[in-house]
Amino acid sequence: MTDSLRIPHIPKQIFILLKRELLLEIRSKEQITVMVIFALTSILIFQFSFELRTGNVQIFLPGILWISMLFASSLSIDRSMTRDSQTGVIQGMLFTPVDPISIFISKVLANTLFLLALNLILLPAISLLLNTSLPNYQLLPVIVLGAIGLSATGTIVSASLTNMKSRASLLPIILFPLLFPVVLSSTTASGMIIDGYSWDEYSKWIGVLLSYDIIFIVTSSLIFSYAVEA
Amino acid sequence: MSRANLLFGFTSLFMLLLSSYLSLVSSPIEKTQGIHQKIFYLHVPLAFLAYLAITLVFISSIMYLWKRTAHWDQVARVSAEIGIITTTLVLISGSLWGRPVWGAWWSWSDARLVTTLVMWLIYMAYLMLRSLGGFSEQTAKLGSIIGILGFINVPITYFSVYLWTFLHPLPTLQSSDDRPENSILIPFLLSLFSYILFFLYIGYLRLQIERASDTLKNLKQRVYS
Amino acid sequence: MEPDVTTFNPIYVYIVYGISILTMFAYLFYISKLQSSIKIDIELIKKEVLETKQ
Repeated sequence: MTDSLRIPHIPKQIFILLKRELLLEIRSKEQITVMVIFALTSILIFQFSFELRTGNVQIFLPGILWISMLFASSLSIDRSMTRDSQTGVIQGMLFTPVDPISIFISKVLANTLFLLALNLILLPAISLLLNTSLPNYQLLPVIVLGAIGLSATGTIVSASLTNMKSRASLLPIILFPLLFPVVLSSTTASGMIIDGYSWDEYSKWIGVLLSYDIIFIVTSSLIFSYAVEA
Repeated sequence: MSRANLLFGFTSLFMLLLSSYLSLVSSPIEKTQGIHQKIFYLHVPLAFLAYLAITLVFISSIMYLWKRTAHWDQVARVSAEIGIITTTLVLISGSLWGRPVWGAWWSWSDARLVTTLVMWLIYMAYLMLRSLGGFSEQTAKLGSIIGILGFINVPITYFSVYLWTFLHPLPTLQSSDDRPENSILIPFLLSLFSYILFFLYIGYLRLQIERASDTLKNLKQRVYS
Repeated sequence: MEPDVTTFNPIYVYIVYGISILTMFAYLFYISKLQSSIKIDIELIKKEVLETKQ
């Protein structure tokens, strides 16, 4: 007797769920729009907050980049989680033989990709508005690993907070202390890269980001199923 | 309150007073820091308790997610409460220690200080969640998740700030500890022991109250619905 | 950053010990307040249950 219903193994599950996230986003463009507008507004605010105190706003470049990403990601991840929980999608997914870990990993990957897409617009916008040259390609590992960190923690916290009454006010209170190592490492590494330090000097920060990502993704994968169960 | 309970309470209170006396009065005045060094007898035990508390939150969060008995959630809540109190006192005492001795109320180049601040924020997040989230299993689960994530965040935070201080070297508020002599070590150990005893006692009392309060809330939900 | 306070000003020590001991006693006080409010609630529920029985 053959198994007519073969449950795909986890990488395939992740791939299918990821396709779903990307398709949804391509059709509605909701998350990216929110991210871009919010990020550009943040840049504007930073420019004027800091311009008055120092003529040279470029020293704030890493901070502006990462704070914009921080705000943009917390907003959009929360938005997508609320949408999913309100339509009952996550509960529905849990009824299928899909492993909760796949749901989590696919969401983290999707949110990371959206953050990276945000950077395609954010980085040129920053160089344009702040009159600096486009940051070099060496920033890429930092941006990718930082985005993964922001997405992983953002996703697990948002997922846990669904159906909670005061979620809007609780989200930043819970999320930002947990993201402190990511912001610290990313801004420091970005600053060092922009200032021209060598790989040997800033590679330790890449290591910290990588460790954060691995530790948080592994831990969150293990507890994600508890977060979303009814 | 049972007799053993009362005895324990008085013992810990007595020990606390005794160790405070020893620390303040009979221990020697240290050469370089002067009288301010005595804050150390209070600051370090409290710091130990603060970090112990978050470890307890972590362990009880895991146990709650595993066993789903209310007991573990109660332990987590009580530990978080004791944690925020001790962490607040650590930050205040550290700041008031640093100002006369090193001239600064605060230093971002001190990894331990910054990590303690981040831990304070994590405690606050946990407690705000428990108070705003209402009394339900969902909130307890969520609390456990934050407890777990918050705990693993602490060593990562410490390491990243420690790494950062090499780029921004400023005098740190905590000097390196070389081997303390007996006249300092003994009051310190006594102090450490009595603070642990005292907060264990308080924690135990608080746990009883939390258990009663939970039973009461469950009853209320049944009677008034 | 040099210390501009002499090392023989004990006020800092007194403040620290004072705040800490005050806080610990305040917490004990808070615990006893909780206990009495729970007792009051228990009485209220007892009355409620007795009333609904009648």
